[in-house]
Amino acid sequence: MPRTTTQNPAAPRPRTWVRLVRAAALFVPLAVLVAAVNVTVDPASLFQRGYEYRAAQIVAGGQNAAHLKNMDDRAFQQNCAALLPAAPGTLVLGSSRCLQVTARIAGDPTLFNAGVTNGDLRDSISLYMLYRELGKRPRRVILMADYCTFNPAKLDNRAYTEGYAAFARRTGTQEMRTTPSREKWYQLFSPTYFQSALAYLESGTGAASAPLPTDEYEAETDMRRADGSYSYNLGFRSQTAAQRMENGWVTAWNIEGNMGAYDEDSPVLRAQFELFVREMLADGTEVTLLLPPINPYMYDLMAADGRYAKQLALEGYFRAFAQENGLAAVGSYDARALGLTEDDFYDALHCSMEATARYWAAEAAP
Amino acid sequence: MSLFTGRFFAFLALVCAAYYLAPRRWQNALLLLAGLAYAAAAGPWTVGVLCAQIAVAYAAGRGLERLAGRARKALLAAGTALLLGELLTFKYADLLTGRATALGQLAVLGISFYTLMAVGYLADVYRGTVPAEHSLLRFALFLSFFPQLSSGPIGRAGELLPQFGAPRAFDYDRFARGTTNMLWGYFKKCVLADGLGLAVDPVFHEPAAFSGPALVLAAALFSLQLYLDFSGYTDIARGMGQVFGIELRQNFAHPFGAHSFAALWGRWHMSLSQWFRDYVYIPLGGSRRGTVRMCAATMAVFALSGLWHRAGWIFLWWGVLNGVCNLLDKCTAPARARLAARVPGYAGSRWQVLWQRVWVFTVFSLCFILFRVGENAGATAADCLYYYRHLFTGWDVLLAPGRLVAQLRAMSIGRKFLAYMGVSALVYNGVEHAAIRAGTDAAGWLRARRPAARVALYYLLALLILCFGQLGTSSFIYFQF
Repeated sequence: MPRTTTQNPAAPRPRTWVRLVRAAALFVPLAVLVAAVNVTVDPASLFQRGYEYRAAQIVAGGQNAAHLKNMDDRAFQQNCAALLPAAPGTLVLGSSRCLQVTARIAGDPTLFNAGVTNGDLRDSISLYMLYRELGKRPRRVILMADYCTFNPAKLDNRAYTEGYAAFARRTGTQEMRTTPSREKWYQLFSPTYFQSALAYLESGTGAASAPLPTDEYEAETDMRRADGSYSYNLGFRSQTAAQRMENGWVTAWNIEGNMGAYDEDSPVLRAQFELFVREMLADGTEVTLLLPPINPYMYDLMAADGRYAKQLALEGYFRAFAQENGLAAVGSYDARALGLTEDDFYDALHCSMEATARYWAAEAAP
Repeated sequence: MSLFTGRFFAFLALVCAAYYLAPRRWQNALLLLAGLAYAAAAGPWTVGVLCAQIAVAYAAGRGLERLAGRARKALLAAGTALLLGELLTFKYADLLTGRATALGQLAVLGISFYTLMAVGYLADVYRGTVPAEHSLLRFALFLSFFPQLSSGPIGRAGELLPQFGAPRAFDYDRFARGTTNMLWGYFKKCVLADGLGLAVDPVFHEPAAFSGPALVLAAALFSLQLYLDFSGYTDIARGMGQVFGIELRQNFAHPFGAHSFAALWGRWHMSLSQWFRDYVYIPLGGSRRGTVRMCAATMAVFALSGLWHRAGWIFLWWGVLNGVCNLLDKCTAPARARLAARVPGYAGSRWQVLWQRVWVFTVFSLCFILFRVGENAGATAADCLYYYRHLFTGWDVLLAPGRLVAQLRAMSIGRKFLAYMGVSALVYNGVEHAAIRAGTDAAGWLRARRPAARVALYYLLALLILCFGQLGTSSFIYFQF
């Protein structure tokens, strides 16, 4: 016979609210366990302070930082700006799509790549202003001019906007704002983050809780090189185009998933882009526009969609703007025009380092 | 609003706190507001459609109370036509017109469920088994009570309206039973059903990449997945109902323990099968007007049930196939019983029970291949036939361990999967069997444990959900109906 609870009918039962509080209290250890694992393992580095600083120390010290987990790219770049011993000769500004531009590719050993995940124009302006404030203004800036540069729906709520806000005030333009992310606090008790932490532990990549300095140019793990460029982990970068298709890195994301929500281009962002470039030129900084190529598969999807076709047409605007202001423009949204194929991409949007080197060399050739 | 998000739990906690802290005369209004907010989260049109169904059913119910004779019958027909018309418009427009229509593309949360509740209400008022509801608030709540809004159980006016009419004080034991039901439901859904889904989905998405044994295994696992998914949802819905002091219908009674195919359907999605029994099967003559009429009524019920699940020809054929199996089961029962009696020691033995269960499960799983293939976007009859044909091919894979392991890996079946699914299955079976022996349900059995054992079991379930539940991707299979 299964044993069941027995109650003494004569014994007074505690008040309802006492029972409720007592029952709820029983689950507090579970919540504490989730929070403790989330904070301790912290696969996306949401809670650990100093992780970005340690990575920046390695990079600014001239070594590559391997074994990286997700981190706050904005905090990392601010630390790099402060820790780099001298002004970089070339500063690359943009999103993850410019992170394969290395010092070797651009032919400047003092290049530093300050691209950040999903970086938008506000990040680029703020980082440039930071370098300038720190007395480390670069001689040349490679500025990413992406298809979504003026799309307000693509502004990221994690953006570093301090310098941008001052720039907007100074130029009398409207400050484009996004609500700051509160993701960190949502994730403290998040069961899905807890599962990510367990998977992270299980994968073994969590064995090192800090970034490791290395001299390897390409590591098995995610790595920021000393020039700020990014080397994806071996698994991600060694997939064939067919495997990427199979894994859904190109196909399973529909066009909106890949391209982000679409709004009409913002005249404010366009004006700020132009003012920003002119301010850099006035500073004596040489500016090169980088038009990052799109996976031909995705390019065709975009070209067939009225909304995104308009965004692709931005390439014409950027080229005209470059010509008008005497800027160099490297790359093209149309990868085929650069001689690239689907095999040259890590996914829908990110061109491999080898392919970046190829088209860069071809464009630089006389 | 997904039942797996922090937003939903915050919504539930907020509604619950307001519900018990507010004066009791506001309780129904609060629940109605919560129901409308829950519907609005699925799209503003959902609220519009729901309100229209409420208005039609309420007005028709009041009219039926006043009218008599042919006018009454005409009003019943008109009310039912309006209710079903709205369902047809939003759910079947694409099927009927043969093209994608704007209305057909709107996914209206729960319309299949609350439309049946509204039609059932009108039929009950017409028959005089329940009085017409005078309070619009109570009636609106009857159709929009959010724990059952998205996927049932399909409630009856005679059971729910009196509950909404009575004041409901906080009852700790009922509340605790409700939360225990929810915990058990989340365990079934997130750990077991979604875990099985990892093995099932790759095979049904690309059957050509797998051999016969994998197709058979996936078909069997899909039956279990569907049961655990929907019964898990039902436990959560019933648990939420109990949290608010409302008892909702039971939907499942251990269907895979049934000894016949017909009996299985009597234990599967009971609120739907009982609805069809009371409002379609019996009015069509049921089993009282001869075999031919019974067969016709059975086929009508299963065909309608197929179409109710989803607007698509494959689902119609799925319903018809189940109807045929049901009739074959009923018609051959006496002959099978005579045959069993001729085998010494077989009739009534464990072997007979085991054989019957295996046979019923096999037929059920074969029927549900249509259902699962039909869920794939753009599936055709050829896809279904392909699956059936290839059940019997490629069995030589059993002689090639390397290929077999590769196929199992492609189904996500590895050591980790087997370990956590094994532990979870042991927990599930242990609790369910103990509950059956104790004559209660899982939540009732868990609540009756000594405090230390109870808390240990709660922790075990919570940890299994936390560690192995598919929390980021969960969506109930029945939500789409």
